[in-house]
Amino acid sequence: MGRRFVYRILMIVPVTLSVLFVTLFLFYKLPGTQVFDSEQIVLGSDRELEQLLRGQVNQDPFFTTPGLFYFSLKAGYIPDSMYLVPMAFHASFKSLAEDVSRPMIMNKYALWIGREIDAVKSKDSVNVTARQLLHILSASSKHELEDQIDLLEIAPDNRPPVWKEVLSSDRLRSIPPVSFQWNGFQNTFHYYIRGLITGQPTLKTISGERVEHRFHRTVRWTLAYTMPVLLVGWGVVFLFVLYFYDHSALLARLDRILVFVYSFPTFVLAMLALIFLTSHRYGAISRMFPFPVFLETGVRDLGAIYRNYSFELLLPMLLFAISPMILFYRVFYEKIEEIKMSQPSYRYLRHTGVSASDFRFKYLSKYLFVATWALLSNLFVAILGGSMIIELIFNIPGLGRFLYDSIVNYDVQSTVYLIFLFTVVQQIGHIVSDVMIEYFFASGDVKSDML
Amino acid sequence: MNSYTNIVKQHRGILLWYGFLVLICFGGVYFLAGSYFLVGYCETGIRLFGSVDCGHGISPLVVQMNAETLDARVASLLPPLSYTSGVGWHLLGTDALGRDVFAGILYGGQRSLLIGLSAGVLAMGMGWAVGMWSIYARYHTKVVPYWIVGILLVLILFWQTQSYLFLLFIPGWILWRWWSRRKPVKPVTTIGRSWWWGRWIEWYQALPDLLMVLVLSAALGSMSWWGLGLIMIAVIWPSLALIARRVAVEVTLQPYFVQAIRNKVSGWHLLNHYLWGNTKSVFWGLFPLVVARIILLESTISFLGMGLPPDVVTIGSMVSSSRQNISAWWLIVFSCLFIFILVYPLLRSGMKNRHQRRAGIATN
Repeated sequence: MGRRFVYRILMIVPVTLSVLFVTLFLFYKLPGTQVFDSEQIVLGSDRELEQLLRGQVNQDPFFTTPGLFYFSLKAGYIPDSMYLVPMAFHASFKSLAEDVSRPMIMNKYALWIGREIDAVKSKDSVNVTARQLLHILSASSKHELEDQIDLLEIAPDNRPPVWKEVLSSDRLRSIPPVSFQWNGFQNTFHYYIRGLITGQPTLKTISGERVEHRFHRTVRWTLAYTMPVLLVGWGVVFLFVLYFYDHSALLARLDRILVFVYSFPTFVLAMLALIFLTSHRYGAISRMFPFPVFLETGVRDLGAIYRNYSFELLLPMLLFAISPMILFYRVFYEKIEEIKMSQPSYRYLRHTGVSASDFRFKYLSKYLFVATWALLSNLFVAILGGSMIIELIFNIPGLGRFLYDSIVNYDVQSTVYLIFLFTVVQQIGHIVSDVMIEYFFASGDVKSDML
Repeated sequence: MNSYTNIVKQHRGILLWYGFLVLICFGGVYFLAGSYFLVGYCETGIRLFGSVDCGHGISPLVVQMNAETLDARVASLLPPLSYTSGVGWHLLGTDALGRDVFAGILYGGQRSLLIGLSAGVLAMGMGWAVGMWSIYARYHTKVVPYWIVGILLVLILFWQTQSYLFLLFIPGWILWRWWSRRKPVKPVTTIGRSWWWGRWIEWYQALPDLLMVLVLSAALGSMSWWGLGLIMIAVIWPSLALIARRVAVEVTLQPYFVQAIRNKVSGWHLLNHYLWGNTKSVFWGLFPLVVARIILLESTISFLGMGLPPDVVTIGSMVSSSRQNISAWWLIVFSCLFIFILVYPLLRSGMKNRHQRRAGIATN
């Protein structure tokens, strides 16, 4: 078991690194339309669009690297300088490069994009505006690029020569199918590893704030309503099941009621609570709780959250408690019933005169602790991540909402930071859970291969 | 009587209930609310199952609108039991765009049932197959030409990604070769293929669900119900594989299984009769719970706006729209009730199966 335990601990490193790699890979694969949909590009003002583009490219060190990994193998038609194109537009750029099938010309085109983005960042005079650049970047074929250029209404003399080259090029037939490139340590993956471990370069959110600062700011909101609920909820259920362990009918009835509650998803319960308990529109009951408004200003620590928002947090706490408490109860109830049916020592111990409290706290509680350990990895993530749904519905600026916003807004650095953290925590939870199951479940001479 | 007949008998209640729901949701669009008629008269003559636009004979009785119909005659946010002349009764009211809530529930119910049942079967199948195999791999002694599988995977990945991911196979292959130079693995103490399978499933489970949902929905383009089903299978199967793995471990610790190994029972027999045969009751017991979980997940994903396109009405999107219309209580209440009647019987059935299994263990 010791050797396997060491292996499991060591496995945290490759598992975390590979999850990190896959996360970055998935972001590379995300088409730009996911964030910059055409409606947003058409409707936004010039200033907003400029900010949008600047927000994308301000995570510089991670975008201006030659590749994702230490070495890359790309399709032959993709130029080496593709890394100059913002990551959100890689999909459209690749598609355009395939259509053009001239790596040299696309190389020039990528260099031109790089120069224009530098100009947008430094607010120098630019050949094309941010809006025009966004339109150009979203073109995924020669035909689309031509249409976008026509829409921009730029006089032919003022058009960059590279546009003409791209549009008038004919496909090259002798492109190698694959091109290999050694990126060395100048790659996105390595930058992120360094950023996460040494703090250099600094990971920043899309708004320019340091990710760990944002993490510290949001984690206290999540802990404010998850920690007490989980601890109290676990304690209440634990003691309740231990106290009423021999009231089978009561436990079964409660189980049925909880299944009834469990049939409503969290978002439905949260919405019902928001509408009927806080909206002040359906009589006295809808004035029971205040309408949730949480402001981050002036909140410096956990105590400040409780001082300013304890009443507002009550409803989210109650709603967050439902799911883990039902889970604890059902797991504990199943365990107790299993012990009653399958363990002969249950009746034997009762007949030998073991006191009720000893039986509860020295015998039954051991099994319930094991069941708790088995849920540990999920609990860690639940504490850290909170309930994203509850945070979204009640506008709590917590960690779950931070993760959701990061992914939806294409904030790669924040997402990578959070996923790195969650993966490590989940792995540790898995190991502890499997160690406990291995220790209690399998006998000494037979290994279950769980660990 | 074979075991499958027993399973059908045990699940008779839930099968009947779901048959009824399928009848209501799929038949309801012809009889109750929808833009199709059962028998109608068009310019081309008498037609069956046509659109109400071309004239009608027997058309939906309650309201002639489907979930997405926008009709200028219908006012927005009408309360339940309102009537619009020429369109019909709005039994459960209308939403902010004037779409009928009753029709929305019928069509949303269709989508939930389709996704829940089909994705449930596939996710359970995949999870169980991987979980069983991950344990069976300890006893699988035949030499499998893994290099062929490896090359195929590399080719597929390269074709799909034209990029870097397959490079992970190089260190993976080196590691595998390093481990496989040992003597054939004894099934009890050493780290073997089974261990690696277990770690792989856990690794997959560690991938961020939300990110996967977003990326897959982007990769699949315009989302359809089967696309959403695929995404949910991709998210759910690892947890089922881990359950299957844990159940299979229990089987491998039983004396009859140890004896079967000693007797050199064939691999297929071990996999089919011992592992699957002794875990299929758990499989069918879990099935209603998985369907319930998928229905809940589908509505949650729709609620977050990551599921079907925004103009397609689902139960989740109806609940989501109630956020902007707090005064229209009917938008949330009826959607909630429908989710409840879809999910509660499944959870009850799953719970009953667990109690029966437990009682069976005790009796044996």
